[in-house]
Amino acid sequence: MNESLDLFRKNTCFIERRWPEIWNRIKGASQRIQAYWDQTTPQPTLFIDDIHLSSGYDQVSEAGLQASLVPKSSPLAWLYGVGIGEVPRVLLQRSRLERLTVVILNPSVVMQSFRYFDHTCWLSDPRVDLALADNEQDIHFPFAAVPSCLQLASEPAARIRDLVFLELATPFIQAKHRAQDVELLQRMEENLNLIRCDGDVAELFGSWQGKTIVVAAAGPTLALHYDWLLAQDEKYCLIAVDAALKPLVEAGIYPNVVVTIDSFRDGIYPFFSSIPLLRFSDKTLVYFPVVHGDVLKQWPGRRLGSYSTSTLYERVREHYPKETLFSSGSVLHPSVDLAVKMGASRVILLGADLSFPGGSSHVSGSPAFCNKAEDKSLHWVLNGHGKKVPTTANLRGYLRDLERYIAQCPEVEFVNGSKEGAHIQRACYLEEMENGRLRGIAH
Amino acid sequence: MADSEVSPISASKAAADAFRLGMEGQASLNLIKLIDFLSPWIQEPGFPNRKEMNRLLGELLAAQSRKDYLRAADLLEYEIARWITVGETCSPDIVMKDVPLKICPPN
Repeated sequence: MNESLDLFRKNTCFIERRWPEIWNRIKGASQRIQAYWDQTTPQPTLFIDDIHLSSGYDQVSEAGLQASLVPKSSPLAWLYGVGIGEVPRVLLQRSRLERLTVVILNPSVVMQSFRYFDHTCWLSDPRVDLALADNEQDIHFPFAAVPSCLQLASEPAARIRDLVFLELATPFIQAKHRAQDVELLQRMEENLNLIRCDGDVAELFGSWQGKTIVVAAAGPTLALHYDWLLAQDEKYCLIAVDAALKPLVEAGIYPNVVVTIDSFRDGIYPFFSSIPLLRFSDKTLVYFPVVHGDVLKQWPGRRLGSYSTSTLYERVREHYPKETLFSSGSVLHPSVDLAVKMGASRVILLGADLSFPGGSSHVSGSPAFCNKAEDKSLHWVLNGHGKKVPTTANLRGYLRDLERYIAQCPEVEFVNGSKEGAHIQRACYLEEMENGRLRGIAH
Repeated sequence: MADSEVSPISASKAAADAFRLGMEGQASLNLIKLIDFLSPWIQEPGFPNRKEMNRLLGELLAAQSRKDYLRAADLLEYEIARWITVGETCSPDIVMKDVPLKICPPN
């Protein structure tokens, strides 16, 4: 089937009639995309901005697989991405399905699909509702997704795209963690003496009530804030993630608390080597018990243990009860949770870029630093200027989990240090905070 | 065949399914294992049409790199699989080890 104006009209008249508001939003879709009809495979499909919209061999079988993510008995289903219209058609063949919400991830892509594929079967079904990802705050379950549409999501749909990808990745991430459990349990066994003797992170809770806490993450923009940090003259409590420690010290900044959670010894050890650790004899290290003893034992100051909610810690927690910090893959998560549990009314995030502004993975001077400028296989998120900034699937997931955490802390004000890194939902910007202070309206 | 062993054709299908479902991490891991296995195998003297297989693997990696996951899945399931099947008939006992085949739904 080639491009057809009749087909386009047939498809769109359903939207115009049933969802006039959505039609008004999408009819003028203006994102410039390059689309061509790829007929090199047995079942032709659209090729849009380097992405095939569907299989070129067996579109029905592919749709069946994608639809299988929704349990057969479910009366409700959400579908993220329209694709060629095959997945909604397959889902609607289920007599038990009472309501299918199809979420558009990119109006320009949908309009192209309407020109080549017949969507009338699902668009005319009374069980179908249509939504725009731009209007959605969170994702719904159970869902199926069309991965090509996730890749082609428009900028306003980026957050929903990331949440869908995160959910799709979760079983794999959990399985990967379970595979490491034996080694991590062994590590905790080796650390038992430390866990027993060291304090509980709860000792810090409530210790900074109603004040501002700065969290220094290790993104490239951390370096933009050294002068600001030095100018604060230790007015704020500074919590640093481990990867930010070395560059901070090189800038003459000594955080009050350092957080380390990673089990990979060779990755973490360099964060603490070649720095004058003795300067930290009055500072605190907060750690998860899976961190290698070589890292923990060299810390000269107070050490406080903490757990995450992982079942991995269940047994050791029984014997050595300590408080829990939120953890979802990045050391930034427990660092932010610590700031909140210390009682902060405002948390300023510096270097929390969760992306690669300027093409760097980390702040200059961090042992984890690497150049990502030439990496063509990256994903993207929007930065504070509303521009795309490269990132990875992992960082993108950490960002969305951080946003979900922030949404659960309405009493805390979150401030993002820089607009160059990922935009963090519900965090205002440091320059706005500083400007507000100058105008006398800040806290 | 032991529990931890699978045929290369099953591994190829598992990687394709993960791509079609948008499970990037699972798909990438399956793909790495498959390519690690295929690379030496297709260099063996008896492997049919090595040149075509090398071309397809190149195209597969390009599709993965530009995140054209459904094309990557098609290549694995329909084009590369065809040559793996021919290869398997030449070496019927060939198996892969420790391939994470199981795909868990997120819902």
